[in-house]
Amino acid sequence: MVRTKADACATKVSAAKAPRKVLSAGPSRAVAKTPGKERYAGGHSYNPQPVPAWQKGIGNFFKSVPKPQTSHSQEGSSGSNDAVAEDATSLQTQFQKNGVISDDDDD
Amino acid sequence: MFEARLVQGSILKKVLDAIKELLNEASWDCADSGIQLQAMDNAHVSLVSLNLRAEGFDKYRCDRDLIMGMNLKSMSTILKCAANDDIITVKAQDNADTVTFMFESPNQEKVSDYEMKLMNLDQEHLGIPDTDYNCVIKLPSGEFARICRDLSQFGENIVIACTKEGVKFSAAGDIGTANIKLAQTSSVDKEDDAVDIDLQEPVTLTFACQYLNLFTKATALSPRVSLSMSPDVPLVVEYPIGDMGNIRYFLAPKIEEDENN
Repeated sequence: MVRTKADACATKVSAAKAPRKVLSAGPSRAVAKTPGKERYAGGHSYNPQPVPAWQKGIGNFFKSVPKPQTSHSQEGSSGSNDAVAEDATSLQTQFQKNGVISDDDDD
Repeated sequence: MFEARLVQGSILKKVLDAIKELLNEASWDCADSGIQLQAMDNAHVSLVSLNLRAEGFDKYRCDRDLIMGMNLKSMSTILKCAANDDIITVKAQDNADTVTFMFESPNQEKVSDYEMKLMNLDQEHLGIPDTDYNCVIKLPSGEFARICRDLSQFGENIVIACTKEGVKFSAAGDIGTANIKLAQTSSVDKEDDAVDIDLQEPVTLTFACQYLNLFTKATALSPRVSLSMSPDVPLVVEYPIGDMGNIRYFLAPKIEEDENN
C-alpha cells in the first residue's frame, strides 16, 4: 500500500465532519416522499390554456335538486330516530343555517 | 355543537389545495355521518364533490346538521398557518356565525386557534345520477398530473382514448402533436403504479386541458386516480382520500353536434 502525506490527517477531518452529516440527515425522515412522486416531478410547468369554445356547463348534464338529507340528527342528538330520516318528507332539507354574514364583508 | 378533530391535519390542508383554485367559496355540509361539499366552479363548467366520512376523523361530533359557508381563500390562508404535522380541530356552535380552527403541535407545546367568519351562501345543489360508465381507468395520480401538464404545452384540448390495450392521451397545437400511451399493466408488484382498465366499450372523448390540470391539484391527496368515461356524459375524476372519503370532479366532454343540423 502506498502511503501519502494526506493519509495522516484524513482521519481527523472525517471524524470531525461525520457527526454533522448525521445531524443534517435526521429530519429528512419526516419528509419521506412517496416512491412514485419523484418519477413524475420536473419537466414542464403547466402552460395555461383557454377554455375551449365548445365547453358546456355542468348544469346541462346534472339537474338542480334540493339538498339530500345526510343524517337523522336534524332534531338534535336526542330524540331523533331512523324512521324520521327515512320519511319522504324529510327530503326537504332542514339544515341549520348559520348567522348571516354578507358576502361583501369578507376579503 | 360541531367538532371534528384530524390528527393528520395535512389532509385538510391538501383538500383545500385541491379545491381553492376552482372555487372561491363553498358550503360545508356537516352532519353526523360526516362532511360533504358540493359546488360548481366559478364558471359553472365543472362540479366538485367532496365526501369526508365521520369515521375518518379522530374525533367527530355533530349535534345538529350544519351548513358552513366559507370563503375558501380565507380558509386556505388560515390552514397555511398550520404545520404539516399539526393536529387540526374544526369547531362551531350550532347557531354561530364563525368557525374556529385549532392547530396543535404533535407534542402539544404549541396550540393556535383561528376564528373565521362564515358566509350565507345560496348555492345550487346538483343531483348526480348513478351511471354505468363504458370505461374506468385507474392510474397513478402523479402520472395523470404529469400527462396533463405535458399536454398543456400543446393545446386547449386533451383527447382520452381508451381501448382494451390501454389508454392514449393526445393533444395538438401550433408546435405539433403529442401522444402518450399507457398500456394496461399486467403485473401487480406495485399496486400504486398499476394502470387498470375496466372496459365495457372503447371510448374516445375530448376534454378541456385547463380543467383537467385544475383537477390534478388533488394529486397530493392520493397515489391513485380513477377516470370514468362514457360518451356524452361528464367525465369523473376521482381521488380517494385514504379510507375517509374521496374528492370527485365532473367535467363535460366535447359533444359532437348532431350531423343532421
